[in-house]
Amino acid sequence: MGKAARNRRLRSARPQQQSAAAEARLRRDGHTGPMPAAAPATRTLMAQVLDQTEMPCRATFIDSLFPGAGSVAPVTGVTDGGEPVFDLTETRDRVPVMMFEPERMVMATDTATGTTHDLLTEALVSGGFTRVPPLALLGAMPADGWELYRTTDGVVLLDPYGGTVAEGRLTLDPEWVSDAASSRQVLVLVGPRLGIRVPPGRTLESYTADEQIKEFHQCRHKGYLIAAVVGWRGPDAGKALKWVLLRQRSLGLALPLAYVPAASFRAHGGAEAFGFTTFLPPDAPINEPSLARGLAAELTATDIDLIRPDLDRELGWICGYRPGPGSHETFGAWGNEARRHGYILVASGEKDLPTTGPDCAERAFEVLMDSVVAAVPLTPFSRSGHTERGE
Amino acid sequence: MIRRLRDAFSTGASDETMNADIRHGMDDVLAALDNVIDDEAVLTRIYARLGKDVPGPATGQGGGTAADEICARIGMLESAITTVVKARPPASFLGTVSLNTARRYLFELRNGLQNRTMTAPEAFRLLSSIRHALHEADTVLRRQHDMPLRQPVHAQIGDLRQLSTDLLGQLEDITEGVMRLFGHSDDSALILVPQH
Repeated sequence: MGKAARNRRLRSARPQQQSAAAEARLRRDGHTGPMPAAAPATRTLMAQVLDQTEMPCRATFIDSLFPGAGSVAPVTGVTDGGEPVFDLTETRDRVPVMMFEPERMVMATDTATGTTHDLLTEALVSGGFTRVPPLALLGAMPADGWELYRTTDGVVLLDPYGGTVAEGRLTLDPEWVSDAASSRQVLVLVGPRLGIRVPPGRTLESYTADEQIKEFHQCRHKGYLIAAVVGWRGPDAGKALKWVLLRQRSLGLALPLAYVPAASFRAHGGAEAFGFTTFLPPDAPINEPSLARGLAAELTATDIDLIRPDLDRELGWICGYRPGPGSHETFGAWGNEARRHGYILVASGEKDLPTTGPDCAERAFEVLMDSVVAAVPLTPFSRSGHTERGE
Repeated sequence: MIRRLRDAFSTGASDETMNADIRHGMDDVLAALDNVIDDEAVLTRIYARLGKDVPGPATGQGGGTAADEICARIGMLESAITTVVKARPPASFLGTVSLNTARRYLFELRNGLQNRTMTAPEAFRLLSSIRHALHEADTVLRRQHDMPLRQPVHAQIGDLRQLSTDLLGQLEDITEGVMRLFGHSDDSALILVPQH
């Protein structure tokens, strides 16, 4: 191997080594330590942390955030003098609250001002959440378009474009569900330390309500507690929430397929704006998928994005998928099929595409028939088999 | 949304480079705003800050539909934000995050109005989201402007803050225009389509 080739190989291996080292530090010490923001290893690790949408959560009420800590009367108004008006009648519906506690934070230091921020907090605040001030009343403004759904084993918080921001597993109390259904909205609190996770070395029984409240207030005082009133949508009832990838020849498909929730295209006028058309059954006289207009798929070893190549990346990114742990092998095989053809099929619909259960294939076929589809070319960079985005 | 954050970082640069970038950026902002924003006071302020006079009226204005005019104005606000958020390095990471969010919502609004794919509730949701993001930018930038910072950074944050304030003012006009387009209806077909 020549010197230049050896240097190229070393350069391409370095980001993975740096990323692996940072991950090892994270596992060993609980934090990575400072990392340069522009380094590929930082981006890789940051993407992994921000994509961990599953997190501890708790369903509670605003008048009694912590079980066993007593309750307070809710505020129903403010006097002209700025004094809160408390409702002592106990006749109103209780305000349901859903608390999400991310397990990791990605802290960024702004080199221009020297200030430090949690990136998830800032992303949610710019997207509709509000910061909860350290003192005064606990409340929030409505975040338009945000929705909280009930899933089979918990809840999922979606942004206005159907993107999963947080999801948690829990059994909902019937009273909580009833109050959420009555008011059709839920106060969502998000913060890295809300007293939900039991500290290391402790048990659930020994982690007292007072300690939980103390942790909650510390989080609030540091400015990491954010809140929003979001729409409660109850059970998802088969609504498409997540991507599904199907290998070539599954259900007789000629190309590997990505099934994408319809909401992901909302910001760009819907999938039809890119030339998507309804699926035709296999025996139809014309069975060629439409070719997408102004849309491309950017595939790496770890994820796939749908983008508008005519726009800069911040505006042109439409939606993306990153396989969870344990799915990398399947994703790799799917990606190889895509690279071989240079195209993927993208189908988009409102309903969830079933992947398990009885008559799965028939039900999946029915969902596909109700969706729209187009063949989407891979970007030249993706076809070349690069493993990392060349930004 | 979270994915977009990954692209928000920058590399270091000297003060001279930063100042040159910002100066260049402000010139581009002026070019983008030129002849489009009809709020004379805002234009005068922006130009005065750079020691320039507001240019005379441009030719070729008018003739489009109401939707076209609204879209053109939205496009100009997008351009103004694009110029400052693309300046490297950004004067304020936090301020530019919210300005960038506002830019995406503005783009989405313009895209939906241009392609006649947007309902009134969706347009009003976007206007509300744009307002929220600009308010957030304004709040953050005000707070940072009160911090003891190096003079060039302080001045740049001041400019960003003024821009966010001006954009909020412009947004009120755009909101009125969009409400007129829809006539407070959920019917997306209320935008008149030219006959061919």
